[in-house]
Amino acid sequence: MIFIDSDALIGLTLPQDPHHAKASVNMAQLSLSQEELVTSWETIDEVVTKLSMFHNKQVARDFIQTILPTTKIRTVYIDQLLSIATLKIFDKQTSKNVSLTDCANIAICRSLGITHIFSFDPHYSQNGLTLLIVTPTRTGSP
Amino acid sequence: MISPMMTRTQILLPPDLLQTARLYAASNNLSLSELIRRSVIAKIKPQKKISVYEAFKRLAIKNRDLKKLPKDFATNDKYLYIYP
Repeated sequence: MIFIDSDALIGLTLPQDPHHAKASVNMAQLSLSQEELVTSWETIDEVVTKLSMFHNKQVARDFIQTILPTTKIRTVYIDQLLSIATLKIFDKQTSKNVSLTDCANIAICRSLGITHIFSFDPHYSQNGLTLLIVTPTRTGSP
Repeated sequence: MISPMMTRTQILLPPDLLQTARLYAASNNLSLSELIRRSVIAKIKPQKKISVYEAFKRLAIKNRDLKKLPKDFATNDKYLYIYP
Protein backbone atom coordinates (compact mmCIF):
# COMPACT_ATOMS: atom_id res chain seq x y z
CA MET A 1 0.00 0.00 0.00
CA ILE A 2 1.40 3.42 -1.00
CA PHE A 3 0.23 6.85 0.17
CA ILE A 4 0.16 9.64 -2.44
CA ASP A 5 0.84 13.18 -1.24
CA SER A 6 -0.24 16.45 -2.82
CA ASP A 7 3.13 17.27 -4.40
CA ALA A 8 3.09 13.98 -6.32
CA LEU A 9 -0.49 14.58 -7.43
CA ILE A 10 0.40 18.08 -8.62
CA GLY A 11 3.43 16.68 -10.42
CA LEU A 12 1.17 14.20 -12.19
CA THR A 13 -1.46 16.80 -13.01
CA LEU A 14 0.67 19.65 -14.36
CA PRO A 15 3.26 18.97 -17.08
CA GLN A 16 4.85 22.36 -16.23
CA ASP A 17 5.78 21.10 -12.76
CA PRO A 18 9.46 20.14 -12.34
CA HIS A 19 8.39 16.83 -10.75
CA HIS A 20 6.17 15.83 -13.67
CA ALA A 21 8.54 13.42 -15.42
CA LYS A 22 9.60 11.64 -12.22
CA ALA A 23 6.04 11.51 -10.93
CA SER A 24 4.76 10.05 -14.20
CA VAL A 25 7.45 7.36 -14.31
CA ASN A 26 6.65 6.45 -10.73
CA MET A 27 2.93 6.27 -11.38
CA ALA A 28 3.51 4.11 -14.44
CA GLN A 29 5.48 1.68 -12.27
CA LEU A 30 2.84 1.76 -9.54
CA SER A 31 0.08 1.05 -12.04
CA LEU A 32 2.00 -1.97 -13.31
CA SER A 33 2.67 -3.26 -9.80
CA GLN A 34 -1.04 -3.16 -8.89
CA GLU A 35 -0.05 -1.58 -5.57
CA GLU A 36 -3.00 -0.23 -3.61
CA LEU A 37 -2.91 3.58 -3.59
CA VAL A 38 -4.21 5.71 -0.74
CA THR A 39 -4.62 9.43 -0.24
CA SER A 40 -6.48 11.66 2.21
CA TRP A 41 -9.28 14.17 1.86
CA GLU A 42 -6.86 16.78 3.26
CA THR A 43 -4.43 16.03 0.42
CA ILE A 44 -7.16 16.41 -2.20
CA ASP A 45 -8.18 19.66 -0.49
CA GLU A 46 -4.62 21.01 -0.82
CA VAL A 47 -4.30 20.09 -4.49
CA VAL A 48 -7.72 21.47 -5.42
CA THR A 49 -7.09 24.72 -3.54
CA LYS A 50 -3.68 25.25 -5.15
CA LEU A 51 -4.95 24.49 -8.66
CA SER A 52 -7.91 26.78 -8.18
CA MET A 53 -5.88 29.63 -6.67
CA PHE A 54 -3.04 29.51 -9.20
CA HIS A 55 -4.94 28.50 -12.33
CA ASN A 56 -8.72 28.40 -12.18
CA LYS A 57 -11.75 26.43 -11.03
CA GLN A 58 -11.90 24.34 -14.21
CA VAL A 59 -8.35 23.00 -13.71
CA ALA A 60 -9.35 22.10 -10.15
CA ARG A 61 -12.58 20.45 -11.35
CA ASP A 62 -10.69 18.41 -13.94
CA PHE A 63 -8.43 17.12 -11.17
CA ILE A 64 -11.45 16.18 -9.04
CA GLN A 65 -13.02 14.42 -12.02
CA THR A 66 -9.80 12.45 -12.46
CA ILE A 67 -9.11 11.40 -8.90
CA LEU A 68 -12.49 10.90 -7.23
CA PRO A 69 -14.16 8.51 -9.71
CA THR A 70 -11.17 6.16 -9.78
CA THR A 71 -11.53 3.16 -7.55
CA LYS A 72 -7.78 2.64 -7.72
CA ILE A 73 -7.02 5.47 -5.26
CA ARG A 74 -8.69 5.12 -1.87
CA THR A 75 -9.50 8.40 -0.11
CA VAL A 76 -9.24 8.26 3.68
CA TYR A 77 -11.32 10.66 5.75
CA ILE A 78 -10.06 11.77 9.16
CA ASP A 79 -12.24 10.72 12.08
CA GLN A 80 -11.95 11.75 15.73
CA LEU A 81 -9.38 9.08 16.62
CA LEU A 82 -7.19 9.96 13.65
CA SER A 83 -7.45 13.65 14.46
CA ILE A 84 -6.17 12.97 18.00
CA ALA A 85 -3.24 11.00 16.55
CA THR A 86 -2.66 13.85 14.08
CA LEU A 87 -2.44 16.43 16.86
CA LYS A 88 0.01 14.26 18.81
CA ILE A 89 2.24 14.01 15.73
CA PHE A 90 1.95 17.76 15.15
CA ASP A 91 3.01 18.40 18.76
CA LYS A 92 6.23 16.46 18.24
CA GLN A 93 7.33 18.34 15.13
CA THR A 94 10.20 20.79 15.50
CA SER A 95 9.97 22.27 11.99
CA LYS A 96 7.35 24.96 11.44
CA ASN A 97 7.05 23.78 7.84
CA VAL A 98 5.31 20.54 8.77
CA SER A 99 1.63 21.25 8.27
CA LEU A 100 -1.33 19.71 10.06
CA THR A 101 -2.19 18.06 6.74
CA ASP A 102 1.27 16.44 6.65
CA CYS A 103 0.65 15.17 10.20
CA ALA A 104 -2.79 13.83 9.25
CA ASN A 105 -1.18 11.95 6.36
CA ILE A 106 1.44 10.49 8.71
CA ALA A 107 -1.31 9.45 11.15
CA ILE A 108 -3.24 7.76 8.32
CA CYS A 109 -0.12 5.92 7.16
CA ARG A 110 0.58 4.69 10.70
CA SER A 111 -3.01 3.58 11.21
CA LEU A 112 -3.00 1.57 7.96
CA GLY A 113 0.54 0.23 8.33
CA ILE A 114 1.74 2.15 5.28
CA THR A 115 5.53 2.47 5.14
CA HIS A 116 6.03 4.15 1.73
CA ILE A 117 4.82 7.51 0.53
CA PHE A 118 4.82 8.90 -3.01
CA SER A 119 6.06 12.40 -2.20
CA PHE A 120 8.98 14.77 -2.64
CA ASP A 121 8.76 16.08 0.94
CA PRO A 122 11.68 14.96 3.16
CA HIS A 123 9.66 15.71 6.30
CA TYR A 124 7.91 12.38 5.80
CA SER A 125 11.16 10.45 5.95
CA GLN A 126 11.99 12.30 9.18
CA ASN A 127 8.74 10.80 10.51
CA GLY A 128 9.52 7.21 9.66
CA LEU A 129 8.08 6.95 6.17
CA THR A 130 10.11 5.99 3.12
CA LEU A 131 9.84 8.34 0.16
CA LEU A 132 9.11 6.60 -3.09
CA ILE A 133 11.05 9.32 -4.87
CA VAL A 134 14.08 10.82 -3.17
CA THR A 135 15.07 14.32 -4.22
CA PRO A 136 18.15 16.08 -2.86
CA THR A 137 16.39 19.18 -1.53
CA ARG A 138 12.92 20.49 -0.86
CA THR A 139 12.66 23.90 -2.44
CA GLY A 140 10.72 26.90 -1.43
CA SER A 141 9.35 26.38 2.04
CA PRO A 142 10.13 29.46 4.08
CA MET B 1 -42.06 -11.67 -20.09
CA ILE B 2 -40.31 -10.02 -17.15
CA SER B 3 -36.83 -11.29 -16.29
CA PRO B 4 -36.43 -12.33 -12.62
CA MET B 5 -33.36 -10.05 -12.48
CA MET B 6 -35.45 -6.93 -13.04
CA THR B 7 -37.24 -4.75 -10.54
CA ARG B 8 -40.60 -3.21 -11.28
CA THR B 9 -40.76 0.55 -10.80
CA GLN B 10 -43.02 3.44 -11.63
CA ILE B 11 -42.07 6.66 -13.37
CA LEU B 12 -44.03 9.76 -14.22
CA LEU B 13 -43.93 11.06 -17.80
CA PRO B 14 -45.80 13.94 -19.41
CA PRO B 15 -48.53 12.56 -21.73
CA ASP B 16 -46.96 13.91 -24.93
CA LEU B 17 -43.56 12.41 -24.06
CA LEU B 18 -45.20 9.08 -23.24
CA GLN B 19 -47.04 9.08 -26.56
CA THR B 20 -43.87 9.91 -28.49
CA ALA B 21 -41.97 7.20 -26.61
CA ARG B 22 -44.69 4.60 -27.36
CA LEU B 23 -44.65 5.53 -31.04
CA TYR B 24 -40.87 5.37 -31.19
CA ALA B 25 -40.83 2.01 -29.41
CA ALA B 26 -43.51 0.55 -31.67
CA SER B 27 -41.80 1.73 -34.83
CA ASN B 28 -38.52 0.17 -33.65
CA ASN B 29 -40.04 -3.13 -32.50
CA LEU B 30 -39.23 -2.39 -28.87
CA SER B 31 -41.32 -2.53 -25.76
CA LEU B 32 -41.67 0.74 -23.90
CA SER B 33 -39.66 -0.81 -21.05
CA GLU B 34 -36.83 -1.78 -23.38
CA LEU B 35 -36.75 1.73 -24.87
CA ILE B 36 -36.53 3.27 -21.39
CA ARG B 37 -33.84 0.76 -20.33
CA ARG B 38 -31.74 1.55 -23.38
CA SER B 39 -32.20 5.29 -22.87
CA VAL B 40 -31.14 5.09 -19.22
CA ILE B 41 -28.11 2.93 -20.06
CA ALA B 42 -27.05 5.36 -22.77
CA LYS B 43 -27.32 8.24 -20.33
CA ILE B 44 -25.54 6.79 -17.32
CA LYS B 45 -23.30 4.12 -18.83
CA PRO B 46 -20.21 3.89 -16.60
CA GLN B 47 -16.99 5.13 -18.13
CA LYS B 48 -14.50 2.53 -19.27
CA LYS B 49 -12.06 1.91 -16.43
CA ILE B 50 -8.56 3.15 -17.09
CA SER B 51 -5.44 2.99 -14.94
CA VAL B 52 -4.54 5.85 -12.62
CA TYR B 53 -1.44 6.43 -14.75
CA GLU B 54 -3.54 6.71 -17.91
CA ALA B 55 -6.07 8.99 -16.18
CA PHE B 56 -3.36 11.42 -15.05
CA LYS B 57 -1.60 11.22 -18.40
CA ARG B 58 -4.81 12.40 -20.06
CA LEU B 59 -5.21 15.14 -17.44
CA ALA B 60 -1.62 16.33 -18.00
CA ILE B 61 -2.20 16.48 -21.77
CA LYS B 62 -5.31 18.57 -21.14
CA ASN B 63 -3.24 20.91 -18.92
CA ARG B 64 -0.24 21.25 -21.26
CA ASP B 65 -1.02 24.84 -22.30
CA LEU B 66 -1.43 26.25 -18.79
CA LYS B 67 0.85 29.06 -17.65
CA LYS B 68 4.33 28.43 -16.30
CA LEU B 69 4.62 27.36 -12.66
CA PRO B 70 6.99 28.49 -9.94
CA LYS B 71 9.57 25.74 -9.34
CA ASP B 72 8.31 25.17 -5.80
CA PHE B 73 4.60 25.16 -6.64
CA ALA B 74 4.02 21.52 -5.68
CA THR B 75 6.03 21.62 -2.46
CA ASN B 76 5.42 25.07 -1.02
CA ASP B 77 2.27 25.58 1.04
CA LYS B 78 2.29 29.33 0.42
CA TYR B 79 0.48 28.72 -2.88
CA LEU B 80 -2.53 27.57 -0.88
CA TYR B 81 -3.15 31.09 0.27
CA ILE B 82 -1.70 33.58 -2.20
CA TYR B 83 -2.79 34.67 -5.62
CA PRO B 84 -0.13 34.40 -8.33
